[in-house]
Amino acid sequence: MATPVENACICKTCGASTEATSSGDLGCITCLLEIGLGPEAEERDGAFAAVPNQLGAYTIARHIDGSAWELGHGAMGVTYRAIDKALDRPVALKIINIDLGSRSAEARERFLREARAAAALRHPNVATAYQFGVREETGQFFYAMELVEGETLEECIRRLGPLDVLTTIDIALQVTAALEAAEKRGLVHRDLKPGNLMFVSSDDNGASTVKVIDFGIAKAVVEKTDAMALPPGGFVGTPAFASPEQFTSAPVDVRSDIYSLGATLWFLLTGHILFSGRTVQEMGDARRSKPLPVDQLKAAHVPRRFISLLISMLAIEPAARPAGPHSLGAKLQAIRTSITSRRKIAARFAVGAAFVALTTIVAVRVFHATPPKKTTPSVPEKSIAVLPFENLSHDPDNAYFAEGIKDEILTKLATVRDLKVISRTSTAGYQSKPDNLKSVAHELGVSTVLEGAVQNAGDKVRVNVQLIEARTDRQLWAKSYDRDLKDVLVVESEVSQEIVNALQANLSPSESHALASAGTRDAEAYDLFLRGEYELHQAVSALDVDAYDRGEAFYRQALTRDPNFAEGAAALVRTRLWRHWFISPLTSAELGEVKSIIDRALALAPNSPEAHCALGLLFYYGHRQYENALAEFNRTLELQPNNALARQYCAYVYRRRGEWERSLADLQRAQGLNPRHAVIAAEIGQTYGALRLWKNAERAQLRALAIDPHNTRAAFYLLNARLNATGDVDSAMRAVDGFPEVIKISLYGSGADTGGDVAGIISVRLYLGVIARHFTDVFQALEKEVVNDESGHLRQLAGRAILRVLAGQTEAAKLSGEEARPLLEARFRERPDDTFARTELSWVYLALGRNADALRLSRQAADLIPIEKDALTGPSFQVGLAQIEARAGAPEEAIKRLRRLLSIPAGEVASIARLKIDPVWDPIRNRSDFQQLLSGPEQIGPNK
Amino acid sequence: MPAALHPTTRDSLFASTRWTVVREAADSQTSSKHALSALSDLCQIYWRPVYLFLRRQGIAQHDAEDLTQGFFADLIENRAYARADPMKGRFRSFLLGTLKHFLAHTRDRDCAQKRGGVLVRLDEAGISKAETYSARCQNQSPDGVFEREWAGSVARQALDRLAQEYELAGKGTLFEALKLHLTAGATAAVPYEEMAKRLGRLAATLRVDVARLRARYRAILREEVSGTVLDPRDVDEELRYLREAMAT
Repeated sequence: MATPVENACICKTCGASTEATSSGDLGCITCLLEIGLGPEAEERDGAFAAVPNQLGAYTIARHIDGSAWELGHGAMGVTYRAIDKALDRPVALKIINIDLGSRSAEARERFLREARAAAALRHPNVATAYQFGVREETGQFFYAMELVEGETLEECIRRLGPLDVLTTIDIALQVTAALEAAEKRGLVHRDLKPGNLMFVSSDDNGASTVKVIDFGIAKAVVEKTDAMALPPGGFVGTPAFASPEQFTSAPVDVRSDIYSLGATLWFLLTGHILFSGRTVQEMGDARRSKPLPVDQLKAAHVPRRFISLLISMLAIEPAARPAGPHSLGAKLQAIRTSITSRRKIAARFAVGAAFVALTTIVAVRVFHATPPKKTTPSVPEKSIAVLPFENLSHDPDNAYFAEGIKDEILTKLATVRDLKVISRTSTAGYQSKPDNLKSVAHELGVSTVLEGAVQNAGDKVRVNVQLIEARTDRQLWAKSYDRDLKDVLVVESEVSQEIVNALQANLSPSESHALASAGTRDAEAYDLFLRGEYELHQAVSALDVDAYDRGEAFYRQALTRDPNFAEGAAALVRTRLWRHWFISPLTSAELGEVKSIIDRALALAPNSPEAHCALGLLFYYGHRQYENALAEFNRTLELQPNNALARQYCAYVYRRRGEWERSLADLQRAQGLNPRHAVIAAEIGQTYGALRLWKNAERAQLRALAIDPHNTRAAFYLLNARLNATGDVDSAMRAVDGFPEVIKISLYGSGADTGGDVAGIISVRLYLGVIARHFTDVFQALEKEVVNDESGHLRQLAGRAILRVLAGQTEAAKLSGEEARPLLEARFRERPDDTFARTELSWVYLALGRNADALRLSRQAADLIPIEKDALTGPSFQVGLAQIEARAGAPEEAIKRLRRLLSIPAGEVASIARLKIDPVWDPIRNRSDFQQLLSGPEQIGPNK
Repeated sequence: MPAALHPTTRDSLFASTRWTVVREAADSQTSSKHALSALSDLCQIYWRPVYLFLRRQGIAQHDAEDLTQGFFADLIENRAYARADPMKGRFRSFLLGTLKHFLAHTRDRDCAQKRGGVLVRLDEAGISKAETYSARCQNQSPDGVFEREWAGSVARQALDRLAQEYELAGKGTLFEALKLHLTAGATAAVPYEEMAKRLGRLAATLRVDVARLRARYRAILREEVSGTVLDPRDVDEELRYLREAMAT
């Protein structure tokens, strides 16, 4: 700093030497000390008193001593508390320090237009601007805005210090919501910073609100004749939080605000300004030349995912930042969910564990509409969760290898009856080495945890493992293995054996043999198998067709390397059958090939649990032979008592047999082994839905969605349960609005063959539209549906015909029917056993007026899957037949059928609430016997 | 927005209790993390008086650097502050007394220099300025140098904090333009009208800005001084003492 002196060494004000210290660069130290001794009230004299009393309709509020009631001041101006005399309400009045009077009329107009555009923004997280004006005597611009009673986040941080991660994310989400609203209006804030975020204290529910102030004002102030030019005096905005492009003449968009939000969040988390400098130029340069001081975030214990997001928000190039507020919000929400779900698991587990306890007493307790009492779970001493192994290899693509080794150890341990072993799905979401080991173990209901790390390079592999007693955090056993890759299978056996020893678990001879055995001795085959396993896990999780295909290819290559690799064969069968059921059906010939693969695997390894489980899946999915399937799943459990998948499928078989209590008991046992698997919770919910225990059904689906917010199956079941329970279609539609985008896309995509009735053929969106009788919307939505495969296309053709029939458009229905008929008949000829093809064709015949053919095919479909053989899916074909009967001249049969359905557990497809609103029943709605149904009883719980 | 009207910043709370925190920790068997942090902050602010005192004692530059580090390390490791005379109650006088004791009783200076590692950051620019001054103050007493440097360090710390606040508020440029007025008061070298033109602000607004700047600087300076005394009522006395020290 230059000294205010004529003589270089003597202060003009006090005459002291400025060279009396090494701090001569500061100026006169004596004068600087003198200020500290000067009068406190000096700020109130002179210029301070110049604050006007009145600006337009606003009167500046004053303190008792006459000083203006200032709320804050920043680079652009000062904000006062004021009263709007016209409306008698308090406002915040900001006076901007620019001389608008010196500008041309055109510039003034442009300025006000800009400011008014910003003021049009209305959002709960934006302080609303009320009015703009110019103080003629000084040319000062002012505006009134909503008075937000709170403090700025800058003040908050200075008072309290840095914020915790969750609070920061909540703030970020609110600001992001404001930015999203602004983006829709084409507005950019340009001066987003802690000082422009008002933090309003918690409401009664403990929620705090953040409001963004001064939206668009920076731009209005900057904008002059030349939009690119900075105003005199330099930078308007706040260099400490400005984006790199704000330091140049480059155009700015919402991504500039995203950068500023990143710098703001940094400040909230650390209390530090990201880049400082003595001049605007220095600060601008720092952004481009200095690395982000990420250690500050690490020291503040900011999770890695959040650090990554902040780094991306603070990318120099706008293109490298999150594309917009919407995408940013989704990322923030995902991080928030991952943090909170970890904290909430303990609470959830208490409920989950209570479910486990319900086995023999299930019939007594399960069918109460009240939730099971929360009990403290007793954790078996001999229980273990194998956490994901850390991949220490340089190549991240080797993650499959670490995961595969962990899975193999887990699989071996699962064969030990004396142990409780948590399934992979439930441990997959945890870190390799969690800080909160005790709570992780508590959440999973185990007393010990195995942590591990794998490093492989070339043909060498190092595996480090440690077994920890969760209660005491004591290491029970640890070992490091350095082996050739080809010997890694032996390591898995050794680790498993050591764990069994450490936990003093009893081993039968067959279990000992299972621990010691290896599926293949061929290292390359094993490597390919692990790659396949990795892909299959991805495929199941995301219903990813490509991942299914990649997995299948790896398994096939593994079998080419080692044709005697039974576990590889079982895995290939598993992937083929899941793809068959969830993606697109296999032909008879393809199912034949699957059968031959599994036969060969069992011939090679008659006691392979994986092979028996795969054979069970073939019976279950390939042929609907549930008794045979059950035998194989039970055999699997004999060989591998901790196999949660086999337990799950036993439950599915019991359900199809109508043994509801037994099914629920087994589902809950499966949940004990796999407590974090959303699908099990969803299936429990579906079972309750069939039993018309709506509250239990909804609770289970919400639990599934809490575990996995993107679980489409749970979302679908939840909608169905709500619709069947209340018939409230608006509530169901609102529920859809609350789902994540990925679920909406899935629910709104083309339909799937989920049942034999109309709702099982068309998509959820179309069905909700039908129920709401919005046929115009339904037809538009149908035309927009995108289908990617042949069965989807055929389903769409059938759906069009069905919708024309339901809308009463007879001629249009015929045209649609004619279009669909040849293709559907061709598929029917190709797949005579496909009940869904039969059902769809029956509706096409109905559209064509061929009622007899429609009835014939629909009856055949219902006969193929009778309730006696399949209590879960059978009712949907009965409903489908009743729907055809109602429209094909057999109303008495339809009503008789419906009466029966209401007297059995068929709540998924038949409920009185839904009969009342579904237009499909319109042809028989006015019949007295139908009306009697609506006022009669419906079975709740299992039949006695 | 009540908090804005009566700002109680974390800095103000913290600064006013720094030396108190350290003294309170001296009464217990172990030092709290908070106390060590407060002491480290004080040492970081006031390393120049220590360094220049050592230089004035005739200790060579690099040795003075090492000894400064060694002194602060000793202060913290050996809990020398536990021996401070509570009656004196000034961090300044405590530090000078302890420094003299350290020099007198540390026979093996090599060992002292190397002990403790780097606890206080002596920035190169600061050393360079201190060296320039050191060459100029050969005829002054070491104690006088220490006290004037102390006064300079208090002012520097207050100005640094003020600059940071302005930067945070997006007013870094304004601060750079106005800070001259802190020392020059009404006799500013650059007239308000001229500055108004340069900054695109109204002259009347600039007067308000300067008044604000001075008010905020005053508050921060007093907070900093209050951090070095036990009783806040001693702030005026300490400021006067330092002002007198500058005059001698």
